[in-house]
Formats: sequence, C-alpha cells, structure tokens
Amino acid sequence: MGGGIAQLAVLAGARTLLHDPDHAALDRGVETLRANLAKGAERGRWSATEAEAASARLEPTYTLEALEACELIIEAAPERLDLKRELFARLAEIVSPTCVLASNTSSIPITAIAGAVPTNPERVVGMHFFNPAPLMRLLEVVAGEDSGEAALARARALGEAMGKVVIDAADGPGFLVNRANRPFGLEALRCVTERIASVEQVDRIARLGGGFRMGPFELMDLVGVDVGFDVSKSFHELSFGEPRWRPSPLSARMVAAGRTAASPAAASTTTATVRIVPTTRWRRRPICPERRAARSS
Amino acid sequence: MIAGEIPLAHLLLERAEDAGWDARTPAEVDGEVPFLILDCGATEDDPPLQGGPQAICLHGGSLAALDPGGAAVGFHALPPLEAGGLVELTRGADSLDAAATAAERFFATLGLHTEWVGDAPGLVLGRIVCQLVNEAAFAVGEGVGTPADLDAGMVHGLNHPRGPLAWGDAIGLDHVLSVLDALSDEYREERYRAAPLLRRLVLSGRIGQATGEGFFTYDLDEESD
Repeated sequence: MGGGIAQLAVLAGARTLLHDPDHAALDRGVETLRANLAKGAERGRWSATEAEAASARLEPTYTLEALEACELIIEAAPERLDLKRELFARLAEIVSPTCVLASNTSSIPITAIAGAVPTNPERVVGMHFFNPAPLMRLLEVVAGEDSGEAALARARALGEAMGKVVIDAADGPGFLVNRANRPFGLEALRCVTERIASVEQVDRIARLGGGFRMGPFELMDLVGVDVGFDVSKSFHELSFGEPRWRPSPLSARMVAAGRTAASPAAASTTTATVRIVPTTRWRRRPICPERRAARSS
Repeated sequence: MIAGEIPLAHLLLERAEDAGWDARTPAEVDGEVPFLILDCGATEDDPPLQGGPQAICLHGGSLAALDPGGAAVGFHALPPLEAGGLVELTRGADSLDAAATAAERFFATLGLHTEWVGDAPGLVLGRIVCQLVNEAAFAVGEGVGTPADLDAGMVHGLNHPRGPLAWGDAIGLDHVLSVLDALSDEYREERYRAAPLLRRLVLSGRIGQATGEGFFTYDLDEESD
C-alpha cells in the first residue's frame, strides 16, 4: 500500500522519499509508481506535465537515515506490532523532533506504537488509508492517547491536499470505520450458521434489499476468509471478549478446511464459502401452490 | 390493509397506492375482507389483526413470537424500499398458503423481489443493518467519532450505500431498537444489547426523520426521502 500512498503524495505536490528495506522491492515499487503516473496521464486523469513533475518529486531511499529531513513519515509496514515499534523507535532517533510519525495500520492501536517513542509520543498519529489508496476517497486520521493536536492537524492537512475526505477517529479496535462495519460480516455469518438463509440468499438480500455493492460473503471471499478471521480474532482480543465481536466458528471451520478464496480471481471462480451451506427443511418445503406448480412444470 | 406507525408502514401505504392498490389503514376498512393485511404494529403484547390473509412485520420479534400457532406469514424490509428492492418473507408450520401467495403477489406488484428465509426477529437484512446502526451508536457514544464522520467513513471508505446512522434515522430508531430488543429477548445474548445512546434517543422521542431529530436533525417542512 506504500506505493499507492506515495502516488497520492507526489500528486499532491510533496517531495516524497520512498523506502523499503528490501531494495529490489523498492526499485520495483518506484518503477510501478512511475508507470502508474504515465498511465494516469494517458487516461486523462492528469496531464503529462503533471505526471512528469510528480515523477520528479519521487526519490527512492535505500537507508532509513536518508529520511532525516522529512516533515512527515507514513509507515505502511506489515501489520506486526513488534516490527512497527522497532521502526518507530529507529525513526525517532533519525528525524527532527517535530517530524510527524504516522502509521497506516488498520488494526494495531496507535497508542501501542507510540509507546516506542516515549520522549515525544505526541507526534505519533494514525493515517489509515483504504485499499486501493489512490482510488478510495477516505482518510481516517487516528488519535492515540498521547497524539498532539499539531501532529493531527498536519496529518489532516496532508490528507486534504491529497483530495481525501478526512475523518477523525479515536484509538480503539478498528478505529471508527472498520469497527462500525463489524456486523456486516459477523451477523451474516450468524444468519447462515443458524440456517436462516443460505450464503447466496444473504448476498442477494444485501445487494437487492440493502443496496450494498457486494454481499458480505462475496466480500469475505475477496478479502480472504483467513484474513477476515484473523481480524475478527484481533477485535475480540483487543476488546477482552466483547460478545458482538466474537469470531464465527463457521469462519474457523472454513479456514481449517483451507477454503479461503484469498484472491479476487479465486473468489469469482470457487466461491469458497458456498459449499458448506446446509439444506434445511424450510428450504425444501414448497412455499405455496403456485410455486409448487412452477417447480414441477 | 396496512397497519402500524413505523415509517415502513407509511412507506408501504405510499408504494401500494402508487402501484394502484386501494391501500387502507385499519380505520378505513369497513367489514370487507382485504386482499392482504400487512401488520406493522404487532408486538407480543399486541396480538396480530384478524380477518384475512395476513403478513406481519417482524421488527418486534420472530413470527413464532408474534403469531404463535397463527396463520400469518412474516415479512421484513427496510427503507428506501424502491422498485427493484427486496422483501424477505418467512412462514411457520401453521402459516396458510393463502397468506404466502397473497404476500408474494402483493410485493411483486410493487416491483419488489421476495426471498423466503427462516424465522428470526428482523430476518436477515434487518438483523445486519440494525446491528450496523447499533455498532455505530456504540462507537459514537464512546466518543470514537462523530455521527457525520462515521457515516462519511462508511460511504467513502467501504462503499456502503448510505451511512448507518442516517439509515437508522430513515428506518426510525424505534424500529431499529425493537429489532435489537427482540433479538436480545429471543437469543438472550449480550451481543444484541442496544447501545445506551440509541436507547436514550428513542426514550427521549428522537426517533429520526419522522420526528425531525435522531442522530442528525431534519427540517420537517421539507419533503425528504
């Protein structure tokens, strides 16, 4: 996701340094980003001159020390607290004391990351982008227990310069948006577990009845059932067992069976969640005489 | 005949009239047996209406709870309930085929799809959406974000069709709360306890668009959807 965020930054007019400890990955990332800028110009999203100027603002950096002069750093490392804490502690020693340190985490408490910067945790904030970052309009700015107003204001201003709808959230499991969306999947899983409706029915009801672009199970397959199950477990742990956030045993069985439909391609062809749908008495019973006639004809 | 005071009842009356039905409230029915009674006011203490094939709105409980051993079918749907939308139906062991047929036909004339599902308070969509409103109310009550930021986040970050709090205001927060309380009664799980903020809004009469105030405020003079 770092590449997508860097694309937003260069297009917003910021000199942008991109870093990855894996140098080959960094070179690939820079190449992809420059190609995306050129492609956007071809498609008329911005002019060729703008693409060139944006491209010139991008610099790969092979050491963390090269980030010394930055005013704001957005970390998009893998979602592991130990990794992020180590990175933030090192960055805090390299950059100036006023540099804002932001994490693009979607699930790790900002306060826990800020704990790695004990001398001035007020400059640590969350900047939660949504996938794919260049396309989704939202930026969630997250305040940890010690985040300072100056750092939060700078994160918001950058988000606005990137053309985002910026919202404020306090620290806590899933912050504001991912937390508020918990029931979409979890209640759908309950409906299927209790045999109130099949997977296909729940998705159809959500799309036609609710106007959602995707049903909860289509979405689970797209994200990966295993990824979603890990997120569920994290919510339950961080909340010390909130009953609304209890992970579904059905998801656990799906993961155990290896039916995780991790990629969009897999989701569209295998629909992993479908196969365990139970057949119950109410599904077989003819609904009314007309339907019975329609079925037998 | 369409009975009940929740916004869904008014919406159904409107849609039925648009589709050419002679839709009436209980007060306007004089003795004749209607094609279908849509009861949006049934609670456990207030038994279903009698006198014709009947569908009960299941916001106040499952069909088993609202019409024990009765002849009705259950239904549930949420605003905006536009053509191409969907209504869920359910039936119990004693539901009459006549009620099932009449309900299917009626909703089809409104241009709505129907889906037969198993019995539960709020059926499928009601349960998912009312819990979305509930979770949002918990988050706002706990100071995680403002109602406006929360709704904007769900629309722009997750492509939801509308923010859960504005949706709750359109459904009627009393309707949302009754689904949650029915789930809580029937499942006896803490999972379905209503957010304190949601219950207080309802207790203070702020049930959403219908009263001009809920999570957001509305101009009552203005025609709004």
